Amino acid sequence: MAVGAICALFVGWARVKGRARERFFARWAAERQWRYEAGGKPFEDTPFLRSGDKRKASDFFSGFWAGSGAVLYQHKRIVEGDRDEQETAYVVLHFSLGRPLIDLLQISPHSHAAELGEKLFGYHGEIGERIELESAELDQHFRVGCLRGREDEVRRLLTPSAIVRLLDFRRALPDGNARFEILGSNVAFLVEKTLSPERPQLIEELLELWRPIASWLMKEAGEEARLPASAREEQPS
Amino acid sequence: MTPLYIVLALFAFAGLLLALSYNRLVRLRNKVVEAWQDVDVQLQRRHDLIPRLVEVVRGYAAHENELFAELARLRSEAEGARGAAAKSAPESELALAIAGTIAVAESYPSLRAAENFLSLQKEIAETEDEVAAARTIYNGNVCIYNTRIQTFPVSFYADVLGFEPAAFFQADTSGIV
Repeated sequence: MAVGAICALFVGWARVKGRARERFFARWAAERQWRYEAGGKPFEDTPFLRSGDKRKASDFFSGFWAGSGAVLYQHKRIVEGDRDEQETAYVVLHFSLGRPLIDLLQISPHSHAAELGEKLFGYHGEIGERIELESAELDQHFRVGCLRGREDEVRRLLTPSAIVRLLDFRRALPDGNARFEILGSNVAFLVEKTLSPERPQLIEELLELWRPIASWLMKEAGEEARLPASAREEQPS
Repeated sequence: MTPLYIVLALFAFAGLLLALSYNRLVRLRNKVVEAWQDVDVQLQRRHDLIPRLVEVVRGYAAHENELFAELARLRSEAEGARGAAAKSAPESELALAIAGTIAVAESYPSLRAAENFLSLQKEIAETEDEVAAARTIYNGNVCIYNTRIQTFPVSFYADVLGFEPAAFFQADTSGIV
């Protein structure tokens, strides 16, 4: 009886807290001309967003940002182990460039374990090739990958100023474990963090840090679209 | 026999560490070279814009001959210099001279409004951004490489293996557009 009462109390408290969270986020989003929805389906249109055994999503903020419609939400990636599940929470910003920019580009956090595995067994990512760009600092923090045979496309896109933008982002968010993915015109920026009403400014901080990278991608997509198809194929590497 | 095996194992382990360290140094040195090639490409872009800048400005301000001659002199000086250390000063002067030429050009209202000048000005600004970014990457690589060869224990054998400190590229282009 007592256990039942405690359980009911706990469930009631969780519901009240959940509603308070939704009300707070809805008000917070409305003040910034964004729309808030507590639940929804996670995006699955880039390789990392599709990865994991299960995916959950919550706290969707949608609005007009950096010249495009964008959705920011909480993405949870669940990997099932033998005994338990490992859940990792990401804040995802998802938007479309309007036009395809590149077949696939993945910029993921550097991991020493993955590097060792690569040295011993070769590169076996979900993508074809790992690219080493000219910056040693970028190599220390990120791994850049693309489809096999598309390395030149990535090298053309990741100019020195683009690399510096990525490094600036990394310096501003050293503990963020950040990822960037582009698949055609779909873009997903991810940071391993959890949205919370206790720290709503995290959303604004992330949007501010992501803005220069998003603006650069928009500009590149615009320029790519202006080139005739023949010129796109003939561009020097 | 056992002490001999221990000594041999220690030597093998030290040899492995040395080989790994050597490979890492080679990779870092190659990164420095690769980043410098990028700087060089961007500097070449800057040099290639100078004749166009002179041509556009000359159309409106033909009497600024001294300025054009100075630009040509600085460009050939910068092109003649080899390596980061030697290029630092002439490239700095050239960047300032380009900024000066643009400032002079902007004092002619008809030139300031000319479409070809505006598009050239945008191209110069973009090139300067890329030069600055390539320089940041190069100097970052130099910093990582130099720190590696100057710190213990690599500092003991880096010199013997032929790894010398690389020079920073310190061109100051902050005054430009």
